[in-house]
Amino acid sequence: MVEIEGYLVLEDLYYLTTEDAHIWAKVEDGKVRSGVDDFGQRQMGEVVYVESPSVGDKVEYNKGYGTIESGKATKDLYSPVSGTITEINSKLDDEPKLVNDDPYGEGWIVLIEPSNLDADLKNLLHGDAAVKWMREEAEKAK
Amino acid sequence: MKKKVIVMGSGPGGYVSAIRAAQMGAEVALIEKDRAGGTCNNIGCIPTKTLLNSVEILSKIKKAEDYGIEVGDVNVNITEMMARKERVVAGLQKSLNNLFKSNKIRFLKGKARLIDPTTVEVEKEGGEKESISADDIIIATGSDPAKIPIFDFDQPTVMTSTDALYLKEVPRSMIILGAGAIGCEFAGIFNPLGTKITMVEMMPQMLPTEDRRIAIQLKRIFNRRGIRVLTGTKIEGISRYEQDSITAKLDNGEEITAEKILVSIGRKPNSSQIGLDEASVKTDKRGYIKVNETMETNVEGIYAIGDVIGGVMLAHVASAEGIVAAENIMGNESKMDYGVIPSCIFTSPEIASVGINPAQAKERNIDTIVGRFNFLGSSKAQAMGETEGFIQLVVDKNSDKILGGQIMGAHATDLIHEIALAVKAGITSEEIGSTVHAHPTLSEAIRECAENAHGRAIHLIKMG
Repeated sequence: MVEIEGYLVLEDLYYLTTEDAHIWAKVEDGKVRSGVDDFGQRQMGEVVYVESPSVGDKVEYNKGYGTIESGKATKDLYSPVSGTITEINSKLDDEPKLVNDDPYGEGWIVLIEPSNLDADLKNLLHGDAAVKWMREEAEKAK
Repeated sequence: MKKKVIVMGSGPGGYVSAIRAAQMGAEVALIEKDRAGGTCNNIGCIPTKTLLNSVEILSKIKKAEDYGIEVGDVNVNITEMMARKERVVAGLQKSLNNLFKSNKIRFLKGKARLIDPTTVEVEKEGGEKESISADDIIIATGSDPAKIPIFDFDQPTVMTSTDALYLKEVPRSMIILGAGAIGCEFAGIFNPLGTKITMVEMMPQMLPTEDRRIAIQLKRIFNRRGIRVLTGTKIEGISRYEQDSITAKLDNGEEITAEKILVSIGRKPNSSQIGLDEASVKTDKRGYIKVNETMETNVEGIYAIGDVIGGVMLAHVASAEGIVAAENIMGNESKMDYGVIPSCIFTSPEIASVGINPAQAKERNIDTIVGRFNFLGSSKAQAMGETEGFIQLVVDKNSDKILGGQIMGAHATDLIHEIALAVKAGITSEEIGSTVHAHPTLSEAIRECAENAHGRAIHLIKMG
């Protein structure tokens, strides 16, 4: 784990960095868990609602599948990979603030059964590349 | 010669139809078995809102320090709170009686029963009977709280909403069965008074007919206030009745005990002892009287309105139906339009909706955009310290017309009418967006929603 200007980056995760996506992806037993990264949640402020898709919905790499909302902002949620939603984090209904409090843990948003994992992962940043990118993002946000 | 009209029941359906018929020249007899104003005025809308306003003051005083005001000890006087409620109710009853007099309506106290299609027998207090004939009859006998056999309503611990309005002490704990509008409003009355509440709802969400987002946020707010909300849960049976407690067994195996249980699982029509068979008036299997769009039953000259016909069981719907019935009786062609009916739930924060919500748009395959704004982003809501909730507009993607809207937040029940008018008049989100709304008001958020439907709300940061 690396902290850059106060933003946490987990090097074993993959990051979708197109536009202002700020989406992380974690490969778990062939499935992909995803949520908003620490920088993304910080920009949002306190999350009040997460609009998730339904289990069984198809998602596409770099396409929106839902939104998260705070009082001052609405953020589209982009899928880091193509595939099918197999689980959504129902805890966020009662505690959307988990996205702020534990963005890489209990604040996860969806679990996806990927359809084109290897190709999609090549488009995501990982390890040192992710750290370097976050450094640039943090610099821009100053 | 004047047309003679009898109205059975003086709730918001019956009394409104009686006045409209009288205004249009009828000689009207209005029969009421209990108190003028029916459920709404006496044991429904008005007393609950009166109590809610008492507890709202209490909640505000408890938060006073947040607003820079120091207060000493605060005590609740439940006796005076209930007395105030009865004064408000009695005052409105008196106003109704004055309205009846000024419209020359004959107001009779007693039980009304049809004895043939043009005659009603009134059994007055003391047993005296009077038969009245009319050219037309409007049945507006309303509904009562539904009771289910697993509960013994003779036990002092088992309450309907009516019983809860006459409590002499604040219960230490209460189970509320049914998290619909009535259950949620009573939770909103007793939670601030200190009652420990557990709500049990068999449907997967609170307020099963409302927008999912509202239900989810309300559950979150209730949880935060210490109200335990069990959705997707049933009461299987009662394990124990005691003098001052009741223990219920849930379908998940858990047993819960409380001082009282409030059964708020809906209402049933008052149609069984009013002589429908004698007049050959048909009902459906559940006892709701069948009517056409002019509110006429299968029997010519007999109309029915309000809760006794089922459908949307709200006071303002009954009143609208009452006007339609009276106008048809008096020779005007009038039809009931259920397209734009605002519905309001007086929780804290309030909830209001009109037209369709996003899920209903999806069910009907209507391509819509939802313009939404959270009150956290409203400067007026910040100034008031009431930032919970949001407004959303459901907008037709092709025509840009507003098809519905939902509001959760302070004054939602007043704010909804701008959206109701928009839906009724076919106004577009463009038109609302280009209408100047005063600053700083909560209504500005409606304009922000309209703008947001086109992705250009001013006070919203768009990210990602």
